[in-house]
Amino acid sequence: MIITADQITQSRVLADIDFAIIGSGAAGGVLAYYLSKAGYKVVVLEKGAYYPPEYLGMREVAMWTKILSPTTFQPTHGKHTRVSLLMGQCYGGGTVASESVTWKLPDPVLQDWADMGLKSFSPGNPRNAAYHDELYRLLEVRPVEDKHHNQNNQLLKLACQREGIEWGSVDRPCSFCMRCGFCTQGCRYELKNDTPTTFLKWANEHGADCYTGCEVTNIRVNYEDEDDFPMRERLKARGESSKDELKRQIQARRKNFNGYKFTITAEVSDRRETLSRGGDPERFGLTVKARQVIVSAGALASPRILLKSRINGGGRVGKRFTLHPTAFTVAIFPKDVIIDCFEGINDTVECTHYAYFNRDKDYYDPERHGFYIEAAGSLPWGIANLLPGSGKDHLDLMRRYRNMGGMEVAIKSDSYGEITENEVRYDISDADNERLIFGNKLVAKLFFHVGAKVLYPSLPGVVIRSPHEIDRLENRVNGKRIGFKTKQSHLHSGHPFGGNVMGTDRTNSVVDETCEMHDIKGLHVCDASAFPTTIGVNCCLSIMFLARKTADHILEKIKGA
Amino acid sequence: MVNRRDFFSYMFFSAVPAVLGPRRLKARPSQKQGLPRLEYLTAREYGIISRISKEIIPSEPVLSGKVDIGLNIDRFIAKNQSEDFVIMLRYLRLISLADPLVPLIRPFMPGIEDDLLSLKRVICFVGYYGDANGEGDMSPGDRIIWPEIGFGGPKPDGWFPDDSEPQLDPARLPDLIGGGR
Repeated sequence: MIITADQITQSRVLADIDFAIIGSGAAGGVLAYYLSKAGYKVVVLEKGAYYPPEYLGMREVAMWTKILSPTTFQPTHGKHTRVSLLMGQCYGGGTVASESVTWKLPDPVLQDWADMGLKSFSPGNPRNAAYHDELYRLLEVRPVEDKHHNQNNQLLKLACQREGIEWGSVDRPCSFCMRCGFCTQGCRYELKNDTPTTFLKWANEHGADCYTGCEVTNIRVNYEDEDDFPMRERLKARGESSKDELKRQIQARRKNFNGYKFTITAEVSDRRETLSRGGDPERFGLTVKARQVIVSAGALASPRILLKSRINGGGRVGKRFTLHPTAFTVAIFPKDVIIDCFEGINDTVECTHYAYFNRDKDYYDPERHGFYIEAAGSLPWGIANLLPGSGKDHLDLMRRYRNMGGMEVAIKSDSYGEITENEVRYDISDADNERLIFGNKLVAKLFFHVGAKVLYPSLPGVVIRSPHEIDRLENRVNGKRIGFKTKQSHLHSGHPFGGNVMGTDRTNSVVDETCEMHDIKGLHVCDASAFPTTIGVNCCLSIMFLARKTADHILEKIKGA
Repeated sequence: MVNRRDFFSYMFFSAVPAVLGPRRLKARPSQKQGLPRLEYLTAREYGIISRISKEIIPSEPVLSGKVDIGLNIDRFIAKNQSEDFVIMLRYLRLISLADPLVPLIRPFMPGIEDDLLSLKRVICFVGYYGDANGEGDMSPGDRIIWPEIGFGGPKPDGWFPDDSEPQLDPARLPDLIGGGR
């Protein structure tokens, strides 16, 4: 069942928990379902609040403050760039707050991961295809019908056709959609198959409990097992007699804690409560004694939970953080061309010609390509922020809202940064900058293919009024080609990855390919923070895929033991 | 190696708001004569927002007082508690401190004016174009801002979509580039 903070009136201790899952998003929901279905006692701890469907949707800023984490004013810190981060933080996490564009984890990415030694990710492994197919079936994923592309998406489709490049209708987990235009505010109609309407609901039916408004403050490891590092090294180095003694000590400690290797402490508070200024909501303690823990709080929160808990074997947690930097372009069309980019489903057409999964095509240049283009509209507050300037000029631009189209370029970054407890350090690489320049030039070209009058890219001060001015996107300052490597460029991302990356070597990764920590057995990290690279497509289903795969590994391991 | 410009930039946008803007903003709204009754903002914050909103959005409803962006934000935050707004109000304090110092800071941070403008815009737009303007709860006939830009607002109860989205006529979308790759 869903336990909201207002139902908690005193501190609680939950014992006899087989799996404590931290986070209820794409990974947490899937894991909760498969593990509870297998008969295990599962508890899900979600920091965000639970909003029933009738509470969701159709309020741009109000929902932004409720279902997204408060990172809007806290972009990444880089020497050259700042990237605003959008992350879900509510019951269902990012699956509630996203458009749910659904892509299978592309084979070239799976191959890259297999080449890193993560053999089970090999595209030839039939289980991977089976997991993807199963998720597609359960989530009722299907392509958006041609007649349901809104006018903004029709622009991208027509422009790609005129340019002669690859485009496609995206898949979405929705058998029927009201097309109300407020997808990212949460589906009020309960038609989008996010985790609350699917995996979490089914997990609840199998006895899993989910505490919302529940912020994990610490994960304590109660005892060290034989397979934990450095215990396993100590055991290896010992002679037979002292090895037995050490094992006896481990057994005794295990018995002391009744086999609950982990104790999680959390604070539960009602995040929906309206408070007087400066007031803190009432908080109650929640203690969870669990045999195994799965951290699935997303690529920003998961590394931080481990760091806060002083679980940072070898200083590897938080490292190799990356994302898909994304740049938006607004185009204004003639007054008689009504686009209404805020109506209908926002992102149903994507241009994938230069996407990473096309890397084997003869035209693909790895130095400049590796991005996809989405048709992207925005609600009034968002579009107002995307348009330049202020005062009367800005007012005049806003009066053309109905004539505006939008596209955004999301690049597969090859740059890595780091997450600390307080900040996210990340900068785009030179190649990323080239991808952004090339991708945004292509966007400009696509808009002119369909008659746009003026373009406002994510580079302040740059306005493009004709195809001859497209080179302005190189953003030359004193002859130097700056492109998007400036803190004044407006980059954002809803796709962060890494920080707890998978790998075969414990000296340069946090978890193994089953998402179990190298150093602490029974502690898993399963979400986009485990991804060793960016993936170059929308990531919701890929995270679910990893969770589905991890659930099987965990169950097989228990069965084997 | 951190250069002087990066150091000042980092200090200004991270350290200064952290020091000058207490995290939990304990101050309570104080009522002042001549100001509307405030539920969340202090009179000073309300005053700053009202001042910058006339500069950022000089529309007739704002200038005439028909739309009060400061009051919209006050009412909205009171109902929608969020860490985002605590951070936003810290930046509001930063704006009021930095505005008169811009000529002094500019040599170290050439982008300071753009950054301040960007923060002012984000705050004012919340109370004007965003649903903090209260128009989501009004009948379409009572709205002022959204009709002006052609935005229809939330879908009413009982609304149902047409079978198909309106289709663009490609003939009315001239190809200004022509050809293809």
